[in-house]
Amino acid sequence: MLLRFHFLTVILVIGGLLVSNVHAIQTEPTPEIIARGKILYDRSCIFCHGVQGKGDGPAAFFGASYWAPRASDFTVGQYKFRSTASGKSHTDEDLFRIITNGVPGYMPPFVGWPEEDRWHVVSYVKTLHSTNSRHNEKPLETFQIGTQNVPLTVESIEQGRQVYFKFECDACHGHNARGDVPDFEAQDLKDNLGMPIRPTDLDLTNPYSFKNGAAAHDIFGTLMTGLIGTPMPSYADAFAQHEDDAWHLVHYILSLSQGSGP
Amino acid sequence: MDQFRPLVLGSLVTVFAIAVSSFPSPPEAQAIPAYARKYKVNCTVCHTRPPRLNTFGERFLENGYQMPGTEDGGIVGKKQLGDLTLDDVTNYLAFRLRGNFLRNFNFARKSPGPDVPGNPEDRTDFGWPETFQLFTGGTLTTNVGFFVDVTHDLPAGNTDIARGYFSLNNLGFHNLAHLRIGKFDPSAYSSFPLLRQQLDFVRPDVNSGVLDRIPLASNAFAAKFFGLFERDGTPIAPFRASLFHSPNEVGIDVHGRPFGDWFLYQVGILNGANETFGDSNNPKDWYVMVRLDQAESDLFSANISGFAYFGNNNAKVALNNSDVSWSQYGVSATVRYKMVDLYGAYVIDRVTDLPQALASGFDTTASGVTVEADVLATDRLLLSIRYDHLDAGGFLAQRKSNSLLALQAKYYLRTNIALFIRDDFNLRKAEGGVSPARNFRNAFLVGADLIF
Amino acid sequence: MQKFPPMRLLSTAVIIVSSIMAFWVSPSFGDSVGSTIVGRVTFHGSIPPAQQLNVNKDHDICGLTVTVQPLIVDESTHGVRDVVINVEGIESPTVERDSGVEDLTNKGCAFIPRIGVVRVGQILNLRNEDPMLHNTHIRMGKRTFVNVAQVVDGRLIPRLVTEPGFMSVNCDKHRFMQGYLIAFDHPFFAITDATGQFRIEGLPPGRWKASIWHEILGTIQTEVTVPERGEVSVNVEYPTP
Repeated sequence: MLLRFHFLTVILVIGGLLVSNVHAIQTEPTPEIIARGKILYDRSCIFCHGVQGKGDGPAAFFGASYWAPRASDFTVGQYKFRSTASGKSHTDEDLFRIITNGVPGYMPPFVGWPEEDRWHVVSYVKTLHSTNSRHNEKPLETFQIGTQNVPLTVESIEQGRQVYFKFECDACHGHNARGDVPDFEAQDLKDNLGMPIRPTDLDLTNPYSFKNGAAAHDIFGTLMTGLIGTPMPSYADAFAQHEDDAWHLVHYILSLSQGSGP
Repeated sequence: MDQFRPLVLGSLVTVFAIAVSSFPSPPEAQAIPAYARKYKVNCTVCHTRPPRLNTFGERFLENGYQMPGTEDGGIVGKKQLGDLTLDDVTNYLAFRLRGNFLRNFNFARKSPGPDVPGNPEDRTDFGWPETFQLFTGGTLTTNVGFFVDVTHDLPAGNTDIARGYFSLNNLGFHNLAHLRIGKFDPSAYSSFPLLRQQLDFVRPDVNSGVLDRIPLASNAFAAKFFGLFERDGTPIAPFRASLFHSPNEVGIDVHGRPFGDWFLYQVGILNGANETFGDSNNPKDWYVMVRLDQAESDLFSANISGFAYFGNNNAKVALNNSDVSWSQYGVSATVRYKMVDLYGAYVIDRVTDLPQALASGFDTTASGVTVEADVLATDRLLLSIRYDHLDAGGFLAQRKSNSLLALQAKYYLRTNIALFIRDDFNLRKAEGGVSPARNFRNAFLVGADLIF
Repeated sequence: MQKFPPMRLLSTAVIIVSSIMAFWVSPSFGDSVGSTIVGRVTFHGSIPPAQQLNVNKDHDICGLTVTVQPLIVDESTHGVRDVVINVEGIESPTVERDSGVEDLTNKGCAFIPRIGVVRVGQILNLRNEDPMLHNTHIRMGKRTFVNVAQVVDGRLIPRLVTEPGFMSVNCDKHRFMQGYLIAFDHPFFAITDATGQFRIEGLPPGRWKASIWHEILGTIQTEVTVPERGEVSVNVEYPTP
């Protein structure tokens, strides 16, 4: 049994609903489905993710070269962009969403594949996970994004600004939310592969920094889940019973880059 | 003057280094040219560093500007519906500006002198840019694409459609056959495509029809023969990229990977070397290329290509009215591991059907080698070294082989904006002589390459 | 089965098991609870100087440098603190949800405890008693166990330990903070106290492999023979380098 958070007594499985154009149509993965997924994977994905999914494809070095992010290592079986709690496994919808939308700057969207094909690739990618990371036999808790009750107002943005400093977002994202941290080098921020994080990766005024998506519900999701493999922690417990504050913070973050989303 | 040269160059290098190091760490490049804009990714998803493609970029190109393994039509999001509109223009347009801010050329023997033809003088001059290219291309719908490269050459003052073709992709089944028709670069899918080099072509110096200085270009791809003419009588410069490695020939070709990622084939028919639309009575030239790939994991990829280009009455030899056939054969290969990109080509050119009268004074075989290594020393600094050797053919009295070594440091302010500093040495300058291939000693260049 | 990281693996030959002594106790004791091993881990070598690490931020709370001494040896007994003893290879029932709770607290810009041991099925309570943000980032190799923001006056964050393994505990905000958490899928482990003593109860009889790990002294392996009932004493001396 997985841990339940008090503030999430009612849990909805909404992973796939994070993005409106993602629809959950899944079929049980038959050997045929996995074989079809492998064909597509070998044609499209191995150039960055490698034939075994280790993130060591022939083009993987050049994406960001000496910096984060490198292509995901599927054998680890954990993903930055999820709808589940920090340290937990992903849902199939999480994988589907990333295949569909890509990662701004680093992974192109594969929305051009028929929906069915994208699900086939999800099924195949899951076979690349090492056995100790196949946790999804149990139902997962995902974060309820749902409808937000906090209207986007000037007051909300100001409250969000206060949350930004109260929760010390500026420790990494900087006073002006541009990654402008004094003595950034000393911070020595790295991802799980030891790749350095750049100030530009932390720049909240640039919509391309939002690799998990730049829409309000995407940013809310990032705050709640954190980005596994990076220094970005989950704030789910910090916002427990104060979820309005999370929405205020989302509004503040959106106000920094309004109108120029990718 | 000679004793000041190291001083001048030294101070220029210093100025360059200071200029580069004083740039504040700029924000990372975001999606810039057309395809990157369309797919919302950085240039480095497809390029090791522009203009070199990485393995993913090669497959994207082969698939007719569609994501590898897909037939997505290059159309994302809302563009799945409805017609293309003016909103889409930025997804189809890109341009490139490049050239040298500073050019410094040195020669072993300068004019005026009774034995030195032309007017080679040590010189330093400024100017930028040298070429402006406007690209438009992409997919019109699933598996239908086009590409046009309009190049304006500023020193020459002319504008050309350097390349322009229409493509139909994934004919039959996925990756069975992709067809190009129009004016294109035949070597685009080989292991060492002409137009994907970090060391840019440097135009020759020609004064009053006399060659003062050879161009700085990859010798493997050169015409290699001294004394060869186009069928209309225009002389063919021995250092000009030709035949399979021409930047632009008119014809039709097909390529594909029907058996999986490890094997690529390409066959094509051209009107003939340097023959444009309308010259249809002449027999065609044709070529075939196969390429073997290893691209699976360990941040490693390797490939090797072999090609044969069969010319058919596609050139003339001086003062002779009957056509000769000029063919080309070669191999090229690329090995990439992590930050290292090593590539090279060995190409042999052969002239057949030579009139008997000329046989004793004309070498019908020539060859060239180009090997380049690029190393991404940091995220922003690309170091390159290139070796070129030409074993020239043609009239024995005229031909001069040469060997060049070029070094370049390219600093990427963003992945699409680079400053570079470069030095080309003539390795055979010691042999002296008045031939432009020997008389040239050294070139020092500082320039910039911008792609938007 | 929990394996310690391969660093500084010393050959079993260099372990000095000073005494292995079994004695029968009255049969009225523990017919069903198995046997117990007790012992002390000692070290007589010289202690390397403490590390001085630069503090990268929050100097007003954390100071300019922190002093880290991973090797703490009791003066009178030469017992080594924070040595983890693991008796391997004993079949034990998988516990999905243990009743036990362990704490991991951010206090004074350090993790307390610095070396933690926990059984799969236990709850790890993450706390922050400092007046500023920490993020507790626990990783096992490339996998993340948890990475949570711990804000000022935030509530404790409970996490169920689901996998055995050797975990590194870090705070990305304060790079100098370092701890380790070792999770076992069985109950036969212990960590030494300030005088180097440990005690493992409920062991079935037999010859078992035991691993002894210390952060800088490394890993050594030995065998222990556990009798039907009673208590066996295992004293371990870390070799002097």
